[in-house]
Amino acid sequence: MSGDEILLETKGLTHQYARAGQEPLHVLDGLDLRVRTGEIAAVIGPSGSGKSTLLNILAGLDRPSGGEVRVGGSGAVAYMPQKDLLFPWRTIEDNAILGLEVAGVKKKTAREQVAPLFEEFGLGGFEYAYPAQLSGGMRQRAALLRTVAMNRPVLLLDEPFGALDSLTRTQLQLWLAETWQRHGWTIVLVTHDIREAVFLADSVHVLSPRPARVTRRFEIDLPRPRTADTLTLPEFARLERELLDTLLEVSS
Amino acid sequence: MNSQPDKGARPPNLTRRSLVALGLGAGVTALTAWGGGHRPGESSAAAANDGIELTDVSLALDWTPNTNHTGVFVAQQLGYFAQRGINLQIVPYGSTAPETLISTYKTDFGISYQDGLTEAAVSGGDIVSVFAITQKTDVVIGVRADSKITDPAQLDGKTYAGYGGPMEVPMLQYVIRAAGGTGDFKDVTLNTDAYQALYAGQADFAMPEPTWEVLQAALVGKPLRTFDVTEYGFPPIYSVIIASSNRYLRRNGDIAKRFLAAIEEGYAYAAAHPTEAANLLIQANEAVLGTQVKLVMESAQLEASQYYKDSAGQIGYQSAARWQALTDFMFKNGILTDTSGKPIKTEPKASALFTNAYLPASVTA
Amino acid sequence: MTLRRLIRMLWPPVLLAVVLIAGWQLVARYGIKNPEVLPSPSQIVSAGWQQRAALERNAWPTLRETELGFAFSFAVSWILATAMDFSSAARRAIYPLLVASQTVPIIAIAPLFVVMFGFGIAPKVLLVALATFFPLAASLAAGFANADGDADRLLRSMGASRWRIFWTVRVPGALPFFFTGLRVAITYAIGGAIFAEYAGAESGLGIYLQQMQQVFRTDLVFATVAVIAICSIVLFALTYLLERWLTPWRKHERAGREAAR
Repeated sequence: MSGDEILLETKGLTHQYARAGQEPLHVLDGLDLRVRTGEIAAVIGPSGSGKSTLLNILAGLDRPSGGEVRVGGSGAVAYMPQKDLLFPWRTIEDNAILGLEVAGVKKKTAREQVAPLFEEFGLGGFEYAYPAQLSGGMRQRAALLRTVAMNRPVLLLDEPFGALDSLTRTQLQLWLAETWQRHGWTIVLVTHDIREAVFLADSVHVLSPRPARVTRRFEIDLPRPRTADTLTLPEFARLERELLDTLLEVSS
Repeated sequence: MNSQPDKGARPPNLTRRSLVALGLGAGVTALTAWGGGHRPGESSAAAANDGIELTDVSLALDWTPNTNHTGVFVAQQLGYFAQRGINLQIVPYGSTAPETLISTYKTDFGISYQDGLTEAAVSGGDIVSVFAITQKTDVVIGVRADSKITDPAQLDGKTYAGYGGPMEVPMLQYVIRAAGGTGDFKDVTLNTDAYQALYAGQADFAMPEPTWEVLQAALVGKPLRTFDVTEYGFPPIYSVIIASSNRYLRRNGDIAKRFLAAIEEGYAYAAAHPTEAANLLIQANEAVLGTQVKLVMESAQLEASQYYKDSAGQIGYQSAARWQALTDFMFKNGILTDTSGKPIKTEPKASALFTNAYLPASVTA
Repeated sequence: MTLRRLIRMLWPPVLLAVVLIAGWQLVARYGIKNPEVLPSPSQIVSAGWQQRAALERNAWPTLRETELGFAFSFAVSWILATAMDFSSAARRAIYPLLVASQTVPIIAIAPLFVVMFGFGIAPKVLLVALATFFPLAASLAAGFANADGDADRLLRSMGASRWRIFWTVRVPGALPFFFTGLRVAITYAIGGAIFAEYAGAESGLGIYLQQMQQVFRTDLVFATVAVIAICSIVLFALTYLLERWLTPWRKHERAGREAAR
């Protein structure tokens, strides 16, 4: 179970883009987000609701026009973009240490640090393979390994399984639930997938259309560890339905 | 697509490989830059001549080495230049004309021709003729020996293969009209392939050198019939001359005199001993002339007997009358243009185009 | 690349070449019968072998000019392409001139260089550089431009500086593009040296070629051309080897595509 301490929060987050010869585009308007230490917080919303803007701000790539962002711990977020963005010229191992390298860690040390994670991420024996030799599911896991290896307090995952086929997606969701169980990472998970949100998350934040704010927040009380059995619980279906209704309402 | 599940070896460090490649490349570049830096052609103030300091003098050729250049190579091979403290540097023919090289001071001397030099000088180039190699006009009109053309008047309506020089057409028209024709013909620029074009029947006439291409044609069994332009009243010209720039002559008059003295001696030898001179020419240009021995021999004989000496038996001497005659012709036919490319209005002074002042005393006396 | 694959790759073009050369031999020997117009392959080979010393002697200066010109071009194109990647003002200023450099006809420029720089190696090096510059610089610039903007964002979120992004993302990503340009540049390089020699040189394959033309030794002209072609092919092959050495990951990309079929 996650603690009660808030590790990442935004207060009244606002952002707008200037447009030539037009009114500025308001993308975020008073977005409040609260993520507890060790929880998986899903963020879900209709298309065009400014999710990428929110991600950029949380990842530290943009400064918000207004409001504040606070991240505890070392204050940094480990960002995993939608595309796996594994560099084809680097081995899986060297892709995994990319974040550490950028942070100034020596290659040798970094390689030692990530070595134990390979087995767990289902990539045992593929340390020296190139991304072109891996399946889609394996590449996503490799990208996640890279993200985790950075040892930052919060992981920011942008639709990590969106590009995968349905079966692989489900496999990876199951795997992530299990792996998270062991490590207890704090994760902000942006997703389109209702089932994924309910299955993985402790809390689901529903965004309104632009300009976005958090219209509703669900607590997902399903028991942990989440397994394939969780999917057939009546509570699961009820939560799914509730989330669906909220989304439909919000989108109209 | 899950390939080898066992770890295998860590692939090589690509950064290191790139640096190695770059390093090798840089090394090779450095080697080529310094390694080949000292070539025989580069200037050296003191050549191997018992430690006596030699002055470098460059001479740009107008074509691949041929018997017009015999005297030069004879003098080189027999040491006439070295004796006079000169280290001769031959600059082979390239697509930059010797006249340009002379007037931009990239070469001290060059092989040129009377009409070419006149054009270059009139359009502003710093160039002057100092030595006449051929005293007889070394160009004729040539047709295949088996053609029906027996008179220049029959060249009307035929195809001429030439170099694209501005004097070719007026010269041919003059001759054809003097022979009774109208002077209308097709002009095609083919450069070196002109003679091959004749052989292949693609052109009807050209202007070959009697001392080279005409002999060559006979040797390969495709002889030419020739018409001498001077027989039709065209003024005789100095087909092959040695030229320099006025600036060079002003600054290096003494060297120029020594240079021409060596040249003079070389051509005198060639005139007296054509066979030996031919051998020396071939020896100096083995790659180019080694397979053309017969041609060189015949040509050397012809040049020695008819071309090197003028009617008074002098070598290198230039007559003012001959310079004037061609300048008149070129001016009257609007061939001479100024720096902006327009035909000039006043006739240039022929005396500014040549000088005998640097010839050895034995000649000018 | 296994030996079997190599053989499988090579035998069709080799067979075609053999057929063409045999046809040439027949046409020259029994058809045209004029070695000055079209020498037969056997005549070319024997003449070339006979004159191999002269050919070798003249090959070195040409190769030297090619190497130095190419090295110069390589350095300048990397500098300019990097500048264009870092500064869009630089890119706007440089790129049009880059394109213009490609349009300059080498044949026309060569004599001008000789007039400016004399008969030494300098004008030839510059000419080779001019001939090879555009393919190198343009392909490299394209390689840099091809970098994924999302990769940039990812690296920035990791806290990477602009230079770090350049070295870790842009340069490796641009290498495949660069090698394509390299292959094109190689084909122009030796030709550039030859044209430069035409304008004025003391030795080199271009000068030798001209000399043989002027004494009607068409067989040696062809022999020289063959030597030039062989040198170019060797250089070309070297670029392939270099590319495989420096971009080993690409063989898996190809394998992946083949497996997917």
